[in-house]
Amino acid sequence: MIPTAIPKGVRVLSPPEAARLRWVEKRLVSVFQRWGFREVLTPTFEYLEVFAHGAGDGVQGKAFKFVDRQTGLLLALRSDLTPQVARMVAATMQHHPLPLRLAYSASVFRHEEPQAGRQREFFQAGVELIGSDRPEADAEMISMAVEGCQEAGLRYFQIDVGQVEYLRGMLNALNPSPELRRKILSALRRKDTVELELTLRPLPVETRLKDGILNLTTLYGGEAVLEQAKVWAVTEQSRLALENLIQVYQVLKAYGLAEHIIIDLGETYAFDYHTGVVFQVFTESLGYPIGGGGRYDNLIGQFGYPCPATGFAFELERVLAALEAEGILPADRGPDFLIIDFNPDKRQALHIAQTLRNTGYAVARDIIQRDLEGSLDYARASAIPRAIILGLEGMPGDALTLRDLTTATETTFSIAGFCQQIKDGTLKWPM
Amino acid sequence: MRRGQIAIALPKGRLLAEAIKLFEATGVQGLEGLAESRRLLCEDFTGAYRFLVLRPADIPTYVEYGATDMGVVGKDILLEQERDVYEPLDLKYGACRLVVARPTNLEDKGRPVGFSSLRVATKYPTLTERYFTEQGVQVEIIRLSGSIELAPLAGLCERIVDLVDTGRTLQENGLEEVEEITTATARLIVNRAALKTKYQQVRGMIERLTAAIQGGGA
Repeated sequence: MIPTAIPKGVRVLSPPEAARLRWVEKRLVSVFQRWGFREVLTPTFEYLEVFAHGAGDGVQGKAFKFVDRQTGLLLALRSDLTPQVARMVAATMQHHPLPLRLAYSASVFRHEEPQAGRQREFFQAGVELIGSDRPEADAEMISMAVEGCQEAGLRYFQIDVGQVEYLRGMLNALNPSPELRRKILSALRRKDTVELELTLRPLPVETRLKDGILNLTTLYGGEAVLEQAKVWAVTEQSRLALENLIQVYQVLKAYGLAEHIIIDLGETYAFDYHTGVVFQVFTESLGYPIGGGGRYDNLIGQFGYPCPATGFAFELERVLAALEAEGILPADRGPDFLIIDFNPDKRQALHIAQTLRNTGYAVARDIIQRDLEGSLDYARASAIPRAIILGLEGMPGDALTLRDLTTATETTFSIAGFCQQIKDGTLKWPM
Repeated sequence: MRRGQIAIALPKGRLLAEAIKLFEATGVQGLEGLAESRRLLCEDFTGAYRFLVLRPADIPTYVEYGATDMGVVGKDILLEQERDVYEPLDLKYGACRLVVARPTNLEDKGRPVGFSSLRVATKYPTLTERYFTEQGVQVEIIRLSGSIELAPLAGLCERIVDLVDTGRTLQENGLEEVEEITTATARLIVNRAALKTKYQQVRGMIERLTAAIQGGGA
């Protein structure tokens, strides 16, 4: 093996990349905090059983599994945060008054082919709102998703909203064999009307139900879709689902978010544990969603605490990719200052560095012996915007030169004066 | 891609001319350069659409990543690549059959079931493996990139899986069809995000294409 090889689907992030990821994370988490969500930390691995609850074979089959030496049970790396939070709430927070507003930011592991935005380790930041089955709770999730996009700086995004029970109602009425169900869902997932029609045509069920399912492939678009969907809500379950979706839509409309919402009742991306309104976040610049979530009223109950809930998460690398595609990533920024000191006695440099650090600036010192140009090159390569130069030949011993590397301008200060102005804030820069 | 513009990938080769006609039938103007294969990239007169002519096998990739919003590609390629894209429309042209064929003079008669193992040469390894697995037949897939019909003659394999139009090529090479796997026509594929974020344009185009197909407009 090549000593520098790295497994497929994982990444290392260099300082500029890590800074960007943390920048996006901070923005999204700040939205969660402003809406009153508090962070929880979940373990990196748990019993596979936890992730298996209602996850279907999709996610569960993609978990990285290994054996617990002590119990012989299967463990899995965190493949989804929602079941972990559900387990945690059922196990430790039943006494807590509802609703619970919980947030997380963590890496998730799934065995995916690394293609089109999929990685085997990726970062999710999300929330779970536990204890309400009201449309307001669903609308809160979607509003926060919109605010998250805005806070990150995205301009062209849409929240694609659906209701899984609408489709499920029709599938339940059809009651297909697992094989047939798989075929129908696969055709629906691709909006492949031809295959869907071929699959449904020979079935001995009423035409209205078949037409209802067939029409799912075209039930996407603006508010008008909700009206069209009424015509095709052929089962009671579908009708109730649509009613619920309309209520959520009305709340969102009242919040003034209609322009960011599109409806799609034919989507099948939801996990098996989803039970109501589900959504995905799309941007114009990226071919795949940057986040999503939905209602899961039965999942926490599977851990012994029946309790309605909803939640969603952003995928941080995908948010970054969208920002990059829109060309609005913040420029990389290294430390605020580099101190380049040619004096043999380092006390002055230490004092300046300490003063700046105490005020909150990030200050690095060049500790490699080289000429001034070499040091300035180092600063530029490290995205350091300012250099403080001391002890250069011909400079007075009590003076420093402040060089702004972006404008290539220089100012000379007395060291004492500079430090005083930093302390009293008459000299300052954005941090 | 300019914001608001829809990028459409068209397949180089046998499906191209008809694809251009279809889009022209929807009212798109300015595609003459593509039809005469002088250019691989062009915008229509209004600037609302940008067309790219690409290798057919690359089109699902472009569309899945959102590098183009839509594309036209044969169902055979979609079955082989299993990409995560929408396939909302059968364009109903370019029909070809994907078949299993074998040398005419081969002693074994009947279906491949009963063979414990079979060597199959194809350009479609994923699809071929899936097809035989579903039938409970173990196959050794030999992945080739062209002139598949020569492989049995040279003794490389006992079966081939390939696209046939009239079946003449098979005959000329001493092969006969054993089974049809599927019929593959040209399909419209759409990127998931494009359908959501540009649904008015995308949906409008799907509807105009549907009308063009039904009206025999192509």
